[in-house]
Amino acid sequence: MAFSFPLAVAALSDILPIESVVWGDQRNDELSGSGDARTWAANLADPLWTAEVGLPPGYHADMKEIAAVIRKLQGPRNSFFLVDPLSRYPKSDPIGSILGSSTVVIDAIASDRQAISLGGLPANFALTRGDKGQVNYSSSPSRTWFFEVSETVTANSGGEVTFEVYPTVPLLVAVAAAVILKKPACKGFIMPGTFKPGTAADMFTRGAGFTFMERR
Amino acid sequence: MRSPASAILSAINAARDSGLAIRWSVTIWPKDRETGVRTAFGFWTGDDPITTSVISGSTGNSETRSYYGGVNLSVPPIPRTSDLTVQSFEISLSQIADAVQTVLRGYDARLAPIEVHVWVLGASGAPVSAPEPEFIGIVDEAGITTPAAGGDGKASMTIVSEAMLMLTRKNPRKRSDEGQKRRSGDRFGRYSNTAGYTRVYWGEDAPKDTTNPPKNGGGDK
Repeated sequence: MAFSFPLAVAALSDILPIESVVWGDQRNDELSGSGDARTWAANLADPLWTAEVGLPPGYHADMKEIAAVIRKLQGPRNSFFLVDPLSRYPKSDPIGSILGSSTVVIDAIASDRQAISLGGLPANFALTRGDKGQVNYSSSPSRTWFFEVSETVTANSGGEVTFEVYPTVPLLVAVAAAVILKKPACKGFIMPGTFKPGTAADMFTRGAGFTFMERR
Repeated sequence: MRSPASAILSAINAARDSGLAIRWSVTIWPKDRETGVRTAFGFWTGDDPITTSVISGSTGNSETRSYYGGVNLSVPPIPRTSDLTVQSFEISLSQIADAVQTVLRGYDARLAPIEVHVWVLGASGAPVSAPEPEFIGIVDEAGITTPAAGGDGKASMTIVSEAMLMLTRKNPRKRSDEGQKRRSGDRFGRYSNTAGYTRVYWGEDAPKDTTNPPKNGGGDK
């Protein structure tokens, strides 16, 4: 198998037996007055998704396999897709069977780029706050927008729904782009120096993990 | 005092409640090493490439420019002074980004014109109005720092204001003999550039040095 980067979900994300995760975002704001609570903020760069991933103890052979794929990323050089282990599927569809093979696309983008309208959902499909989604856009390099649903909504009988998202829809994302709601993945890399292959002792390798950072 | 576009002004006025999103951009016109033609390259501190209209620093008109994103562009505080000293500041970019390498290694960035714009973004992530120029200058110095393994490097450019730099140039027409003798053969400055080296001996004869006689006969009369 030839490796093609960014590594697809099946190549790495699916083989990670994630035990613990801190899935958050890194804000890139400048602040003023945070000492006296009259805080002003200005955003210096778009926020990025980040995750601290811990892997459970495992047999040496299994953990060695994971470490081999991660090393193949060559540190921060190559990217991979990581599924948020807390949001593999929408809350209302825990195994993805309702979504089935429906083709979900962006029908419209609000002018302030804080909300999107989706089409092609199953009728009356519910999206819950905290559900995640993925949109691939642009080419060479291809880019990924990993977003979070900010409000709980239900699609109409035609499978259309409008809701606010976080973060802001990138300017290059256009109407008719395909939206992935089943196992949406965030494209990113492993922060330099954070990958620990784990300590092998007795029968198990313990303490493996890494810090993931989105790459836009 | 300059008056910014009304959309920028209202965005700044609303900063307390809605916050601001500030981005920086630089446009640089390095020279093609083969043809000598200047080509525009833009970089901004956002992530995705963007094409938008900005206010040109040279004409003051709005024009469409393209910017590369995600190149770790960093613009320091720009010195604001009221005197005539030549101010300089250093912007830095990722030394690994291919577009940056193209500008600094592929093209000749020496003395290339450069414009720095500040962008005020609205909620949509697009500029509320055409970004206005913040600094116009030329590249005075550029370098690529390659760090030790595991360290952070950068490509940096030192920018100076060309208008201020030109104020420090002397006008040779007013002082040099070559300039003055064109005016009715005025030779007042004929020996002016050697007068400082003339040795004058007081109360004694000048040493007889035939191999290296003093120039212009000074002190040898």
